[in-house]
Amino acid sequence: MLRGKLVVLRPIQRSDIKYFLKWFNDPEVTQYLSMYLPMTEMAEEKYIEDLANRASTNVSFVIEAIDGEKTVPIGTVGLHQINIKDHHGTFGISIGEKDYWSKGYGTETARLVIKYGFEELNLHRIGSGAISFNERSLRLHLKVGFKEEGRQREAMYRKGLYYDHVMFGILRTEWDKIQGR
Amino acid sequence: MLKGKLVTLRPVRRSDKQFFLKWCNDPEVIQFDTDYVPLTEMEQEKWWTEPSSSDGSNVHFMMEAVVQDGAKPVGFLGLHYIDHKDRHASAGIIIGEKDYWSRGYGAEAAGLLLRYGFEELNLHRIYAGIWSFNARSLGLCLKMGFREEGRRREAVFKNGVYCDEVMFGLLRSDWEKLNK
Repeated sequence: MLRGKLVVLRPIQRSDIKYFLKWFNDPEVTQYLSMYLPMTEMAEEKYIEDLANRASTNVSFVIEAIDGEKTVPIGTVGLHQINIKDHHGTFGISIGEKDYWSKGYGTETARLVIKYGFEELNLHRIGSGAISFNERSLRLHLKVGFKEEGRQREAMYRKGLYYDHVMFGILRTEWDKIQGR
Repeated sequence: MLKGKLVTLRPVRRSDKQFFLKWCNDPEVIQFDTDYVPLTEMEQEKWWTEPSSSDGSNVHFMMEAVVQDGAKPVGFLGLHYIDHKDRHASAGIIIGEKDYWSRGYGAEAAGLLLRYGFEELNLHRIYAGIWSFNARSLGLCLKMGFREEGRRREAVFKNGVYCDEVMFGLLRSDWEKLNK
């Protein structure tokens, strides 16, 4: 459980499937993600059950927005493809509740997860990426300290066109500098 | 089967196991690859039963050098993470017989593989990631028409230090300009 001012990040539960089916079947949400087929209940159940087998290479959280006394699930975030030899992981975030876009929830969530990756998992580097038209995500990455490391040209096909995949990375040394260490 | 002047690319057979075990356990060879733990016979045999080897997301070829009395396996190559919707794949090549380094075998094999990817698999884009100290592969990518698209800084730990992964990409349209 990671706690911020706006959000709490907690482990995924089986009962979260209803949120995942809603979020990951919303084209406005999935246009930014690599998944593109209709997400079935069966496929989502399999994904959730399979998390147990990937616990050391994949850390996922549900993002809950703090609203007074209660909290509301609004999306997912995680570090994936964690490599135990090279000490790196890949950051991914998706806010499925669109009312919570552009209000600072993603920024606080990203900072909590990056801190967790470096200060708890002892990673050396965290990589990430975004499709080139996802302005919100590009800004978020730069704001929390990622550097743009390149562009994979025409790597993602959406709405009839090929778009670039923008690659980001942040090193532990850069994170420490941001923290004033 | 893809035929060139110096090399032939053919499907992998069970009996190729001996070559994989030799090449993938040679530190001089494997320093340029993602793999890093000793490759056991049991692990090698498992490769061919994994879903990824039959679900259309990988194409593997054995690379044989044309020699006087036949053909000699010298390495392997392939297209991986084939994405049939975005139409891209990652290219990888390993020449395990070190006598065959820097003599044009890799370039001819890579050319055959790229043609196969664009003209048979109908890919839009082929990419590759090369460790920054692998001068031979960096040169090969540029020679084949790949463009450097970025660097994943300090993404791989080899020989005691963190190195960059240099990212290359080649679009079908660029490849056609070079090959038509």
